[in-house]
Amino acid sequence: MRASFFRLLARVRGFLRPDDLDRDFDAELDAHLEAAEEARVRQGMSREAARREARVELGGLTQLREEGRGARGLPWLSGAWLDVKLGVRLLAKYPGLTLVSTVALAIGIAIVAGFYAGTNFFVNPSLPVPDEDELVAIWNHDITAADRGTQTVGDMLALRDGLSSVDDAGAFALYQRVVAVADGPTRLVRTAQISPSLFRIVRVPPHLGRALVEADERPGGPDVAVIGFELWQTDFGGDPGVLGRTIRLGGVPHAVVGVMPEGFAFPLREQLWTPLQPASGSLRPGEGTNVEFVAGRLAPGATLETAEAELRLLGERMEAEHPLTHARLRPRIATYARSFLQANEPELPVLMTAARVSIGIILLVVAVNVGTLVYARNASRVGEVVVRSALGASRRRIVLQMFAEALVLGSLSAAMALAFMFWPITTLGDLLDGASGQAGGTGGVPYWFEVGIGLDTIVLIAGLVVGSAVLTGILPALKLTSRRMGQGLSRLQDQSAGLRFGKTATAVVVVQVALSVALLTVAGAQIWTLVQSFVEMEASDIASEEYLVADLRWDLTPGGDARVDLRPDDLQRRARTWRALGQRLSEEAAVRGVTFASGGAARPFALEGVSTADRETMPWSYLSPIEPNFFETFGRPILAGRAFGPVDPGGRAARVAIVNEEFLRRTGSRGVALGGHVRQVDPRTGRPVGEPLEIVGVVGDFLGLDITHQGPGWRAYPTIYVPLGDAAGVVRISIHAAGDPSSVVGLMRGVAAELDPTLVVHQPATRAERDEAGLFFVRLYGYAVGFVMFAVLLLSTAGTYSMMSFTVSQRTREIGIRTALGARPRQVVTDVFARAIRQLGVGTLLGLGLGALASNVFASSPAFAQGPTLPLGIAATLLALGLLACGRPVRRALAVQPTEALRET
Amino acid sequence: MSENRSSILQGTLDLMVLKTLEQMGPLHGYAIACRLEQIGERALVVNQGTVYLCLVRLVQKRWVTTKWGTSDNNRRAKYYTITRAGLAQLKAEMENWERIAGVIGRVLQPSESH
Repeated sequence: MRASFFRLLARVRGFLRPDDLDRDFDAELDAHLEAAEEARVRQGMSREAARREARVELGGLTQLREEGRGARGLPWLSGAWLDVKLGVRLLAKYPGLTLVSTVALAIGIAIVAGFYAGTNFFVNPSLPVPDEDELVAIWNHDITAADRGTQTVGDMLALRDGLSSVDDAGAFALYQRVVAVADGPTRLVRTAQISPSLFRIVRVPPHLGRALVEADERPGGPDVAVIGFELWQTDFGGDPGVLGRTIRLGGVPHAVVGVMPEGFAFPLREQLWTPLQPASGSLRPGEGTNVEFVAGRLAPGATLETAEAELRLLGERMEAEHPLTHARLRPRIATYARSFLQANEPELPVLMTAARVSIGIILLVVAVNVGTLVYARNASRVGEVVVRSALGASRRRIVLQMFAEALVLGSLSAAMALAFMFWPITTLGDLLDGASGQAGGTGGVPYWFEVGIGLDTIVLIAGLVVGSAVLTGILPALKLTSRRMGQGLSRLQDQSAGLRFGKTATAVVVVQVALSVALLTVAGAQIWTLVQSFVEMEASDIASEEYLVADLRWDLTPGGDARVDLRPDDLQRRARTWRALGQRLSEEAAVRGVTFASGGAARPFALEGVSTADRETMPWSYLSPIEPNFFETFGRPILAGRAFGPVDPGGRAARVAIVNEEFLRRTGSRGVALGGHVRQVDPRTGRPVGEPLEIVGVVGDFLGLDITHQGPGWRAYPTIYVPLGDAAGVVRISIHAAGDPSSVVGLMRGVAAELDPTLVVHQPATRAERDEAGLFFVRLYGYAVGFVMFAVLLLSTAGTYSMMSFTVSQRTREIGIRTALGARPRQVVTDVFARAIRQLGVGTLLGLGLGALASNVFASSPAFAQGPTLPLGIAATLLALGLLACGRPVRRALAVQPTEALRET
Repeated sequence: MSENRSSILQGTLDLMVLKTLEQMGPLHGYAIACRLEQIGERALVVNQGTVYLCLVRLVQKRWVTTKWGTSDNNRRAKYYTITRAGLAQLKAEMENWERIAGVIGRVLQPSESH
């Protein structure tokens, strides 16, 4: 045992310093030969004979040295190193083929690894807290709306008491709040009102002070806050004496009692936590304020499945006991890290499957192309392999060497793939972070969704490299060295260029061209449609750069929805504030006009005298509350009737409406006109609700950005405008700027802060900027499709080229003989090209058919929707490239001297 | 086939080299080779080079140490000396050899009695 260890040690040393030991060994052998020679001379032998005999007795010197080296070092490793060196040399020998294969493989690796890195963060999310898989979240699913349903503090209390498989259940609600340190400037901070028990379940100790505790939860408890590390750094300058200092939330001072460690942003991306205080301990399900999620930790021994079963029973009981609120609600549970997506994006798994299928199809095309390259490359190497075998290389040696070569190529590709991936992945990460930072209210990306190229991605890439090296190195090597191939040098002489696989080659060319044409037609149609919509959008001028838009929010207005019911006097106070803001701004020289509107939602409407029985055909429209000067500010003419006046009551008291042209177009056949009435309809019951609205005017359409599967475009939406009044909780301010709209932002913020310290100007941006943000993913999609198209075009060109060039080279000898026998070059050329055209033609036709079929099934833009130009253009390009590839080998073949061609036989 | 023969040879050669060094004290490679030839009375056909490969192994296992010195006729030569670990190994292998030889002898005996 010890001896073996020492021996290994000695071998490693020998591997690292081979030269010293070689010299020593040689010196010893020299000394041996001299002594042996000397001894024989002494016995009377001639020096010449003595030397010869001494050598014979010692044995073959070279072999002995070789064996000595093997015994002293690590021969296997030295061999591998040699293989790598040889691999590099061979790759450098065929630079063109190497470049194309490297890029091809790199594209494949980049697609797989990029898809993994770009999706894994939400496919397999993991919360950075101890034992994160025990952390669960529970939400209510609304079965009617097939969406999130409401959940309240009362629900949390019922779950806390009734669910034995989940410990420490608590809830949280997320708000964006106006925060200020002492009398400093205000800013919006993402905050959570959270049950103290949730700090216990995440098991992350505070950096300073304490987390929230149960005593803070008491109704009417002290106003305390725990702050995040980042907030501590930015707003308190990392002051170690921060505990006990005051932070103002919406003007109310709170004492800082703790600082959480760096990177902690539970529950979603929050930096400030205040206790969630139930109004009373006896709230029933459906009562109390709304919460985002109920969370807890699985009890010891409980699993997600047992918890789910228990929750289902509890849900049924709640449904029976509280039918008013819970008849349509079904509680659902998931591990915490997954809950946000499962609750909010239930259709995501379907999308992911679709994405995987598309990626799979693209990869198939890439794989076929890479395969073609490898095939053509190996086919030209039969000679090399046969010669090496004849010189005594074992099969294992040749296979290992080709594996090493493939590994070298794969490593180059991996490096290139990382370079390809780096920009999109890091940009995606920055974008998600940026989007979350600015996202309105409480949305955004959870803090544990980290996009990046991590160790797992690197391991995946390494696996892909090894896997591809097995496929492109070992398998072809095994075939090349198989008994059938290894019939010695005679074969080599027999065929000048190697493998004879006429039928396979034809099949490969046809499949390759077909797949490439199909994919390019499908992708091309998508790109074409996108480009066209962008061109059309550019062409239409809607002056969106001149208008600055911002949401006006007040502290504790969550997300802009109406979860908090405001009292009428609150609403009136707010209306006074934003009207004052508008007044002050419109007096500025930089401002041409100011107007307000409230969020418009699409709703079904009933028309006077039209039956509402048929819900499918019920007209729908946006309902948009606006100020009277809205149309004037945006320069939209009133086409008929009148605009709103100051006397028209707004909000719920509204009795008049103005409709746009699109509304008339949609409903025109039903005879709606000035003086007619419309009524809002409850989409679930189909019954009219609210008072009828009299149509007093018709206005020209506004064009809004619309993104459909056909690409983005401007579109008019049917809209019913009503007077805004005082009732809106959230209003949107639109400013028509005289000059650069961004110069108005500072002005607006200053006036707003002066008027009301709890008022926040949220996300000011020009309409053009907002549209651009909406277009981002469309552009991203365009780039992705473009990248794939470019990759496929590159690959299929290279693949077709090498394959055609290979098949023609195969016929060099035949062409030479035919020329020798008197065939005219023109005849030969025609013959070669005729065959090439047949192969490429069949492939192209198959590809066009496949493309048309695939695009009708999978893609949104049918391949031929834009006419036949694009697909035919793509097909013609590939055909031309394939024929071009025949040119050089044909010229080469024709240049072969007939005598040479004959001699080769 | 060839592997079996060489492995038997290898083990045997190690044993013989160790024994030689134990008996004769420090020796250089040529002297070891000559000694083996002399004892084997030329019945043992050993390529002299094989002795050096054997010595490389023994040195790696630390059963033998080396030192460059001067030979009887005033030439530089590399001398091999058996170590304590080498002596222990020699003892163990000799016992092992005797046991195997005894067993093989007993197995072969009856067939020879005919």
